[in-house]
Amino acid sequence: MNRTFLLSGIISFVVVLTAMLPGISYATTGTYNYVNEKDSTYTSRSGSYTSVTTTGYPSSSKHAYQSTERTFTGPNNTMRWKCKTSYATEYNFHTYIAIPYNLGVLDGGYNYTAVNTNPSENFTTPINQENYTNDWVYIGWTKGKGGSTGCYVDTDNKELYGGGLDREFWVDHMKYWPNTSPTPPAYTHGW
Amino acid sequence: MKKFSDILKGITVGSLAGLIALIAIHSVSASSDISGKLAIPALPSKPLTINSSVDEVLALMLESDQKWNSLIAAYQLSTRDLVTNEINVQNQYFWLDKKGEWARVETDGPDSVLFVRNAATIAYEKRNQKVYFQVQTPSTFKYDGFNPRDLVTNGGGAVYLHPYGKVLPTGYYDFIYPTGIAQSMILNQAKGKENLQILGEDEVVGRKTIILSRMYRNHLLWVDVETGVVLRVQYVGEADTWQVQFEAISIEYDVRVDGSIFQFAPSKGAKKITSTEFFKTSLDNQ
Repeated sequence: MNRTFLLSGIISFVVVLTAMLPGISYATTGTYNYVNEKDSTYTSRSGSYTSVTTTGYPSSSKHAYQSTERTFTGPNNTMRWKCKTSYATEYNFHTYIAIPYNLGVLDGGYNYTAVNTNPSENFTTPINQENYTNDWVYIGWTKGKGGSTGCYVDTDNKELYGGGLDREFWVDHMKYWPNTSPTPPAYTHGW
Repeated sequence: MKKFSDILKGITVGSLAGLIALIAIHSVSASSDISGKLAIPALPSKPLTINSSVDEVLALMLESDQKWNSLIAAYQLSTRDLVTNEINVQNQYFWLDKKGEWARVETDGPDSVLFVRNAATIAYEKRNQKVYFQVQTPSTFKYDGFNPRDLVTNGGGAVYLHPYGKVLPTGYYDFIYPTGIAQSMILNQAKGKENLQILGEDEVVGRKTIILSRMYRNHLLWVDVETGVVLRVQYVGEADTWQVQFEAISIEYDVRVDGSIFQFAPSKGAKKITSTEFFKTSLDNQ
């Protein structure tokens, strides 16, 4: 077995895998970040985010990705999940949040405010994370042209009706799916 | 010439190995597909009993909104401080008509709010801060063919919250609209990540309920046997007793709700602001 054969074989193997793997990458395991509202800092982080894929969507779906553009500030630990891509025309941005598997201390309810360049469809919805552990939750859709400045979801660790009890705040992936339809696109969600 | 032949052989073998690896990865991911494991019974036409199966309870919760058209309820939210054992209480009042397309919610306590939704608008007031906003209802809160049975089987494994529920100003609307929780339990059960048991029967505010235990989160739910509405929930977690309880203190289904209930009138002196200002976060200043 000579070097030329080995080298071309390895390159072909890698090319085939990298060219076709993104289509099924949604099945890989996700990661989460744990934010402690008392410290208002990241306390741990692990792994990397799954890659973006546009495979398997209806043709009306222009693009899809998982947002990894996240910022936070203290002491309130507001998280902003920014849309990354902007478009020349308006799309309906279908938005999902991932709530990771976790046990122990109770999670709380938090407001998620979704904003886009067309403010008429902006909305705020409370999500009780205690009910949706290990789930992708579809929170709704905004309308607009996207972009990291005018398109985002904000959430903070102000627990709704928490009665002053300390609460954990779990953060995982978020997905925006720009689409021409008001109906969420068919897609299989994975971790 | 031999070098060219080696390259060709290398490409062939490498590509084949790549394809085999892809097929192996794909079959692993396909094994996590749960669509074939979702068997949801039809929406029960008779009240649940102690002999009903967990799946029948979930079926009723999934399409619970098909069992009522209007509803007037008061719930009490209690949160316990595990250190001092002090219990904080908040009352939440609901008037819902047309399955909640028309809605009024009032809460008391330091975070007291008034929320009104009618044909075209939603209005929301923070009473203690004396500010409110009123806007056209965003489309995402419209019913628009919402079909949880179809979504749980064809929705790709995500949870779709009730469009009339998720607009309400409380983190506990899921118990009046339990479709989201039912979807979560159905999906996680199919993935082997739930442990659901029927513990018995009970009465809450004079209505028969089935007690459902969601073990892996340590939740107890009292499910109305006729409507699927959750009349009491207790989050226990790792504590010896409940840490949070959300419990109906009165409920009436399909009663006439006066239309004037759904007209918003801000409190005296309340200032109108934009919804952005209303839900402002610290990041809006950056």
